[in-house]
Amino acid sequence: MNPERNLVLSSSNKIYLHGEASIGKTSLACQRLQYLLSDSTTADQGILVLVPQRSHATIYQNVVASINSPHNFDLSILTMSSLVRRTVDLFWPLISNISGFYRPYEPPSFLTLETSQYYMGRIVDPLLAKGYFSTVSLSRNRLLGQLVDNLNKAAIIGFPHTEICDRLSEAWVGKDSQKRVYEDAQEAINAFRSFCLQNNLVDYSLQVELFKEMLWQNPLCKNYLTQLYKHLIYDNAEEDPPYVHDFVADLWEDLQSALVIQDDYAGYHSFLGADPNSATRFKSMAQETIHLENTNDFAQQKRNLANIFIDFSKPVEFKVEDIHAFISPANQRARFYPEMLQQIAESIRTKIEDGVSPGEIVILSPFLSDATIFTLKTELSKHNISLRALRPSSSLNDDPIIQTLLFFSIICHPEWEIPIDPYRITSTIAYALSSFDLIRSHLITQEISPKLPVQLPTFENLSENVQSRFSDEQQAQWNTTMAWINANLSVYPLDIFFSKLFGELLSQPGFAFHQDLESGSSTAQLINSFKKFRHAFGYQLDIDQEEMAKEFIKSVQSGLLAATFVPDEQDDDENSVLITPVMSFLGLNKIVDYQYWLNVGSSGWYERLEQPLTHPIVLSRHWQRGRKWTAEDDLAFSKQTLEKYIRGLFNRCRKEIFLGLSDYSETGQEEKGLLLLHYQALIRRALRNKEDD
Amino acid sequence: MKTQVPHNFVFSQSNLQTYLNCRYKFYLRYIQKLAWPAQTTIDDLRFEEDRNAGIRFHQLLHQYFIGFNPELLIRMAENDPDSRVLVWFQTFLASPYAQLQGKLESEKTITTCVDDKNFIVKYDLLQFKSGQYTIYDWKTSNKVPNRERLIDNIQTRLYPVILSEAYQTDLPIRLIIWEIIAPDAPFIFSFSSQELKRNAQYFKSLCDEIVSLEKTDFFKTANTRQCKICEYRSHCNRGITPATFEDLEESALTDLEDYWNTNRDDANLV
Repeated sequence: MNPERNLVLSSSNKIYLHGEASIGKTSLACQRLQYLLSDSTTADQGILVLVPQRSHATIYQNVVASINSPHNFDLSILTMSSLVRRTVDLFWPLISNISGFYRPYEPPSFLTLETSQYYMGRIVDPLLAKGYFSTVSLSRNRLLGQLVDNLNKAAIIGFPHTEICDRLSEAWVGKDSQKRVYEDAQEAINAFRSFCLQNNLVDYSLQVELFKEMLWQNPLCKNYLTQLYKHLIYDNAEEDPPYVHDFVADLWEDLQSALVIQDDYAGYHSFLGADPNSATRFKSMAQETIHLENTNDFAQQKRNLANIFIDFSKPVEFKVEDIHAFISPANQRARFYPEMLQQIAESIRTKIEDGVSPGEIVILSPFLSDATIFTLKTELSKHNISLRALRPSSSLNDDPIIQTLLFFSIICHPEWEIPIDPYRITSTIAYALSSFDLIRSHLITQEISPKLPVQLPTFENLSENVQSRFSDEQQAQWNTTMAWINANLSVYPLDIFFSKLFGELLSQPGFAFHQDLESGSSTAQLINSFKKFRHAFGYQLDIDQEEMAKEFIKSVQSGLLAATFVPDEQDDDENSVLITPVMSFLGLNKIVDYQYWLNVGSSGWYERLEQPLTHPIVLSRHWQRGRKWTAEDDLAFSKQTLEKYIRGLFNRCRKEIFLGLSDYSETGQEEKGLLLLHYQALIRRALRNKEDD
Repeated sequence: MKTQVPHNFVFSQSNLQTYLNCRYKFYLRYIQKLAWPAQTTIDDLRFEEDRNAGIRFHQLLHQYFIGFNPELLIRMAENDPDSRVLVWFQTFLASPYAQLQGKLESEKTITTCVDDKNFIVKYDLLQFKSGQYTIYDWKTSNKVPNRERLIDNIQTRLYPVILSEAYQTDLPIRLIIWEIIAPDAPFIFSFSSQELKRNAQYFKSLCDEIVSLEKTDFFKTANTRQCKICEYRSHCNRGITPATFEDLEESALTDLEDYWNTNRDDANLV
């Protein structure tokens, strides 16, 4: 038994475990969990496994399945957000009357990120009409997102939300007009907080503040939580914000055992407040520190390669062939982007024919367009290779199944008077009704009056010329559809309407969703999203259902509501190639044999998103107030980000990385970002060595 | 032979009840994990309201047992959007259950392994007093079920078995099901160690059967009345419209209430 394993198989020590990604830290944590669960004295004492994201829980849930001991185990696998929300919900009566809520004895309504943005929109829209934020060129959704993000940052970092404007202004070095924008943001944020207090709405920032400042200081609550959890396993502590580390540090003395795990060089969610520096405090608090390092030759070579890839000044001792054995262009340099995608599809086909499992291949890009996914899906499907896309932040409205549900809901709710693009009418009818084609659908579309509301004609109301173009089957299906629509006009609430539409029409034989498994999960997602939206309106009985439903539809159409739901099984599909943004892949804690990198010339690999209303570094705990954020800071930040990504991706690759290179990018530009420059510099230096030899 | 059941599957009252109702529904919901969001009844909204009121009532009781000031809780109940919650809570405060003694654990989740199968149950309240365990289950049903049906109910049989297995105890166990609309007539079930062993054997056999089935063995139920309250109705080509409240027999009604009220098996997970 190795010494690390000896240490983790204990129920009485407190350990800080760190090392590079994919070195076996989580495996050790699973062994410790297994040990704790198998021992009847510890299993019932309360074990908390804290993970930064839901997706990280699966591996620990699987440990539970491997336990074969006939005694109770008291295990909670939670994210801190979940723990905070449950605690605020349970202890609400203790704090609601001293927290400024206008209706303290009524139940609260918890807001999701999306419903927070919706309410923020109600605050911001009148301000926009008055000319606020006029110098900012941002979409409305991104503007709302950044305002909500500011509030959340204040809570998770630990400063009053009323200081956001001051902190951002102090660090600003450009034109003074930007400071006016910060003032506008502060006004919107203050108004949003007042609105929440008036309406018993508890957004994420309020949940965190209530938890930190009131509940964790309340003896009843603190005692409850400290009695509940006696053993802690805290994985990927670097991906959590500092308030989580504060909580764990406070819990520390009452714990019988603790294992805190930190991934070196990570902190990928720093733009959301993740703070790796803050997490390192557990090193000094723990009784033992374990540093895991992979000492095999390949791992050592990857580490050396990453070092010289990142640092131009380091001498290159590798030969070009050695570098290409690990990281190389996927094929001949293509001139255009689609050509490069074809080359990648061909390369993947060859790999799979050579016996590589599709689950061992991942395609990565800093951002993913529908066109890229569609092209690769089409190319790979020619060889019966399935491609699954994981885009956690894509809009609900991007999904054709959701578009179909929205279409029918607009048709069945004429009182909304929402217009539908004629092209959308044609394509949706052809998609939803199996017996229809685009020609027949187009004929129907042409018969629709341009006046609002959009009303589909019954078969009898179609012109004779159009009627004659319908087969008996099409006529019967159109009649069924119209009969259902006419029997289900203005059904509220909307989740009930969606359920009826799904169950009684679209999933019936002859319609698009029949036996279509994906349609079930997409519809469930939309219903779930609406339920959260509905619940955010609280328990008021006088809610205007019509207005609420219309607002929801508009929010989905505008892209405000995102498809954030990720089924657990998605991570484990070994029969398809995965395509996902780099950030999402790094968050999966997954290691694969082969990686294909797209858009290598893009600055998206390292540059901060344009965020004129917020700033992840200035609004962090380590930022020195009064300091200015300069261009040098920006460059240093980009390099740090690139370094994190390169090390993270290298560590998550067992065999080879392929670079998808093309002269012109997806948008037709010649891009020469830092990643490409670093790669070219690496090869140049290696070639120079060869010449010197 | 490879089992169809996922390796990390955890048996619970609701998934076992689903299996007994329809093997194919169990297959779709727990093995294929197929989301199929059709209506279960015409009155889904009513069930949701009932369930939400029930959840808030359970929360008040949980808060009561972890030491909240009862007057504060009465104030919360007074302001609850559903007036039934105050009535229920006052009924509880006036009942002997507000004065229970011994070691009390509210909202107690038990996860354990029995014969290499994992189980999870959640008790509203677990009491240990004078060498006896008592499990309390608070119910906010619209209709009081009959005792005979409760005796055969999966919940009634599973809860005590899991407790005896997890705590490795031969002590007799009581289960008290308290229907808030019939507060003076609680259902009290006592289980001797022989009965617990017999029930444990039943669940072992049932779970063995489930994990041994081939895909084709998960067939659709012959009792098509079940399909009227099943969300997979259209997937199975077994009808278009869901059941109305009046269509439902008492047993189906109780199953549905169970579904709405207890479909929270993963409560201790993220």
